[in-house]
Amino acid sequence: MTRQAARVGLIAPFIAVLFAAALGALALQRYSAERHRATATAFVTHLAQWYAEQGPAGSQALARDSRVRFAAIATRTQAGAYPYLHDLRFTAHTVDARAGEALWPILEDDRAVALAVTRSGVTHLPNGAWRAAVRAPGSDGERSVAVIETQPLSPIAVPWWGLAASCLAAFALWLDVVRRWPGRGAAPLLAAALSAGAILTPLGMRLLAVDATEVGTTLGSADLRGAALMLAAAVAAPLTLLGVLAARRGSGPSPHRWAYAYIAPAMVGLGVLVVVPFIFGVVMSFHERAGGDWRWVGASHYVDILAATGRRLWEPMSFYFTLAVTVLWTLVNVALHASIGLALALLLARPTLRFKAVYRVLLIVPWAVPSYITALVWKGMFNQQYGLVNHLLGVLGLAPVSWFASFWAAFAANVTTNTWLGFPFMLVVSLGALQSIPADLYEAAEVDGATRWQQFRHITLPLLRPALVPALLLGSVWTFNMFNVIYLVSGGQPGHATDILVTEAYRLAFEQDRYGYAAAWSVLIFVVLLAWGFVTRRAGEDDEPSPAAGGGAH
Amino acid sequence: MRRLLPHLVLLVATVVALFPVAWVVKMALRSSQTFSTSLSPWPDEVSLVQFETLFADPVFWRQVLNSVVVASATTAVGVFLACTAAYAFSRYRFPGRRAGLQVLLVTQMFPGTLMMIPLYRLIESMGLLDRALGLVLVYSTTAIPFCVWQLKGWFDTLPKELEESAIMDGAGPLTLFWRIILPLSRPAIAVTALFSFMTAWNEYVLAATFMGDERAYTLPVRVQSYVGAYTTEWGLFAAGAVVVSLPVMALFFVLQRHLVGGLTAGGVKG
Amino acid sequence: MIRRVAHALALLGAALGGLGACAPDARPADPRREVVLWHSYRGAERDTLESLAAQFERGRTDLRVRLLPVPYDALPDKLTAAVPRGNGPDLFVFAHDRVGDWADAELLEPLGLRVAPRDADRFARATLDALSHGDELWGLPLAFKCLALYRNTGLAPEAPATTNALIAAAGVARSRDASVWGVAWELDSLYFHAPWLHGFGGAVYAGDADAPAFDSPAGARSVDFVRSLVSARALVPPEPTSALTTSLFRDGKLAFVVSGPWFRGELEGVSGWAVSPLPVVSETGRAAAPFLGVEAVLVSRRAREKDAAFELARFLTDDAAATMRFAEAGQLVANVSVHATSDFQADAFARAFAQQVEHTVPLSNRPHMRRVWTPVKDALGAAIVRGEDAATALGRAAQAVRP
Repeated sequence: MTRQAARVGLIAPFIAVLFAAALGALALQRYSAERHRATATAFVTHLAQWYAEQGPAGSQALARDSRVRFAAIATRTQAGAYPYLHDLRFTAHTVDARAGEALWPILEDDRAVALAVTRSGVTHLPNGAWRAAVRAPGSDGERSVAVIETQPLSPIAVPWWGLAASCLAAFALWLDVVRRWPGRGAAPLLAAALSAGAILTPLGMRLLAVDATEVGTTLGSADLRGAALMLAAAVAAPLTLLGVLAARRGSGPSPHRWAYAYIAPAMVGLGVLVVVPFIFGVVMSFHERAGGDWRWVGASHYVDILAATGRRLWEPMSFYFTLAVTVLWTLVNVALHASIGLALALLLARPTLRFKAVYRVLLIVPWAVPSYITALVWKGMFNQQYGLVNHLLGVLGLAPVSWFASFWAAFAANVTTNTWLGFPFMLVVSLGALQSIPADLYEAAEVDGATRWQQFRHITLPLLRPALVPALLLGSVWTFNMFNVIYLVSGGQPGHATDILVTEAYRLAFEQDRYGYAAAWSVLIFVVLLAWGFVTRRAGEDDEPSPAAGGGAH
Repeated sequence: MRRLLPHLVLLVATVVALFPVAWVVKMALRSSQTFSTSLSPWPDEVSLVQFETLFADPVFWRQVLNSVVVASATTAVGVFLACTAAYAFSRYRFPGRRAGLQVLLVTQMFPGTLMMIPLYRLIESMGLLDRALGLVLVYSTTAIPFCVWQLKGWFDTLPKELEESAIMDGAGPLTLFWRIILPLSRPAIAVTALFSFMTAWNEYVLAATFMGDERAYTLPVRVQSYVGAYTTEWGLFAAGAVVVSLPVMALFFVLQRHLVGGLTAGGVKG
Repeated sequence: MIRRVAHALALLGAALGGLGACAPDARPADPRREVVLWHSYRGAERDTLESLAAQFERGRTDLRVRLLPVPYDALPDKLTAAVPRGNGPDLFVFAHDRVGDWADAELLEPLGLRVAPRDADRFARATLDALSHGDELWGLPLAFKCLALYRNTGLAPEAPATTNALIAAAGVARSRDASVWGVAWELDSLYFHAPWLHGFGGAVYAGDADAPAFDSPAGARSVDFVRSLVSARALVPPEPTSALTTSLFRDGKLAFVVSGPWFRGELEGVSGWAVSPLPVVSETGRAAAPFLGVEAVLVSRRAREKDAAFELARFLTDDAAATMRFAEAGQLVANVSVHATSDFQADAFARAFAQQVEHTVPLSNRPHMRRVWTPVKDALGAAIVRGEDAATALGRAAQAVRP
């Protein structure tokens, strides 16, 4: 079977089924919403009667059962089977006049009932009487009004764009097959996978009557859960499909099975423990948390961030300003770490130096001591009045600097602290990297009359590249996301000017409760780093072992 | 003079490296719990009462054991997985090789601030909550990307002729890996081992969140518990910080022999 | 080859064995039901909590209490992650300022239907208000915290009743010895600035409205007042961090400090200090009213042993336990009957704070309060430390807070 025929034969029916499923899901949603409403009414009425029948024990029973899951309630109150309520929790809470007004629509809708709770038991309040009861709670203060209500049915998270995705998939397939665009089958594959996830996962949850409280109540709304699972399925599905297609194509075991076996554990571990939480983060960035629930806000966070809503483009806390500060921070730090680390490593690599081991162990101390406490010590050293740095400046005859009052001074304080914390790492990496250079190269160069500097430039640096580049690349990514130092030393002062992208995200999430906004911010951080990764991709690709290592230098 | 210059530079660097830590030691040697804001890092009193308080608590020793086990396991798992993966990336050409390397880099770019709750639920769904194994898995996956890149870069510098001659002598892939590649890679492995150990040893947020029993906590959690809502017990915190730093330095002391030994002497290469 | 494999296996075996050892000890089957309580107490407070838990176990032989101390900044995240999954504690001890947040996120069990009015009367009314949200009571108060005025009795023998008296006394101390500072607190923190804001008639939010109200003229006047202390009268050291304030006061280089009950722990071994309520603002005649913070025991919505958890909560907050907590751990308990005891009255420290409680504003537990801290911190920093116009800075902060 040709590849193209395989694609059409496999994917087209797939897309058709998905489309039908989406339509069916929407219809089912409509129908079940109606049924839910009717069932909820019957259920709360039954509950109210049951509690009233319990006499004095009724009020205690009511308190105990509040917010318990449906299954327990049904058993306890002999409620029997109420389909469409498996997602239910019912709540009973006391109300006063103001809260009562808010509940009035639900009471009118018969999804809730009002009860008068006194010491001698519970009585059902008909809709007319409860308003009066709420306003006059009884002279002994021992009577209160409680309302039992059911949670509204959470909609099946089949976003309309699930349908749109399957249309897109059909369109991509048409482009690929009929118009022969060189998509290699990837585009329709991906779109098909997206639709699959979008539709099948939440539908499956609903059909299997999975208890909503078991799956992600932290994130609240069904839309968020559904969307998150959908995205996860969208990642898994194309991989599966690819595997299936590859298996059909190949004959016999792949010659690369050893390689795959070697990398599999690491990649699977990474995939599960890093990628999945990240997908949740992405989904969160399209929502915002409002009073314990998640609300879909679409791309409004991204628009707010990129358009720097509410502040000028070039001002602290605007995305672009913070991005610039972060880039500057990264470049300066990596340059300093690398140069200091390498310089010290070169000094320590001299064979004739004594006490090398002692120096090495002592120089690693900044890395060994927890950075929380040392960062605060550095902050103390930069105190304007009593800090050591200003004291030293005074000794040298210079004026004391108010370190956290201006951007450049605070930036310098941060850089100093981070360099102190970070150079041991580069030192260790450089020490290791220097070992890959054979000593005879240097000897031969000396014989040829090269100076130290020439040796460094033409032997050391090129040969160090493969070993140093990973540390530099990853080091720059880590510095970009370095939270501790900025937060502890300058705290973003003055006025958030020295905040970098990741400390801004933290503030938004944990100090201002804007989790969705902070998630969008984090996704943008990731995108920026991804772009940086593409740019430096060439630097990391050293495909062949460098010829010089094979002794080709002489 | 030329001979003294390197010593001078190294001495200055060492003093700068040790200076702030001297304050930490000073706070650890005091009997009060205040933060030291004085100019001099020399200890103004030498009292071991903070250390005594720490050591007298049996739970402390249990937590030290936890930390050691978790960090060692992370190092073992991380280095092992990274070696094998890096070897594959370096020596084999397979589809998805470049993509795999990029993915490793890319996973380091996710800011971790918001990943905690999904991570918690993942670990819980695997039944690894309140188990050291859960922490080990998470720490290992955090450390692996750097380790793979570092080792791959190192393996790239090892000439293929060594392996080719070994293959001609009839060595299988396992022998190749264990007896030829690994012994030559001691410096790179030392770096990755130290890095993995540090990643696990100093981490406290995930340990505090995943563990449900005080006896299962690791050392950084205990040290961080001295930081309160309004005040911090600096004396105990500093003493804890000192205790936390010592094993790392000991490990480095042991590893540095491998870090700088071996290759340049003996002319194995070329 | 064999040797290496053997080494590897041995290492792996050791690692696995160690990991197994790291699991919490398998406890012998205990017929008692277990109630789990999370807290972030240290020192004496922790010891007292442990002995109270032991007392509770003796009284209820069918229950066992398991306490888990968690580092303070890790506790909220741990709760948010664990409780919805049912892995959290049955009850926990924490400050009240997240109650609104957590109640909305359905992490807390409402206690209203379980607490009879006469039970609730045990506690100071303000502390119960702090734990109420949406007409429900969400926790039982253990202790309260608020700011008050500490003074060095050598440098300032009398407790100042008004701000003018405070300024005068601080000025006198400073003029006698130039290395001594007058008064200090964290200048850019809203928590520390609140007494002055309220003293000048301002408020963070007006009633229950959602629009911030601190950018009023009263707010600007309060900022100007503080700025005058810093720049015009030079009474406040620049960059007064808590570490600096503590060490200056301990060394006798600071006459007055605005701080809370926790500050006493920093003054171990130091004598010659006393606490009094914050002074009345001379310009307006209103008391400088700090925020009231309440430490409470909260029951988790997904608790497995809800009844037992509630029993324990009630036990920890009843008058006998409160007396013990005050006596042994120095907690400023919220039980009014304890305030009336002779031991409490005899303790000048506790009495001063109990007096201050009459003039406090409960810190709002609604989520909207959390948006305020950072923008106001920026505004205070800009206005007090860097000299920007107060009204402009506060206006900008209010703009940032508005939804």
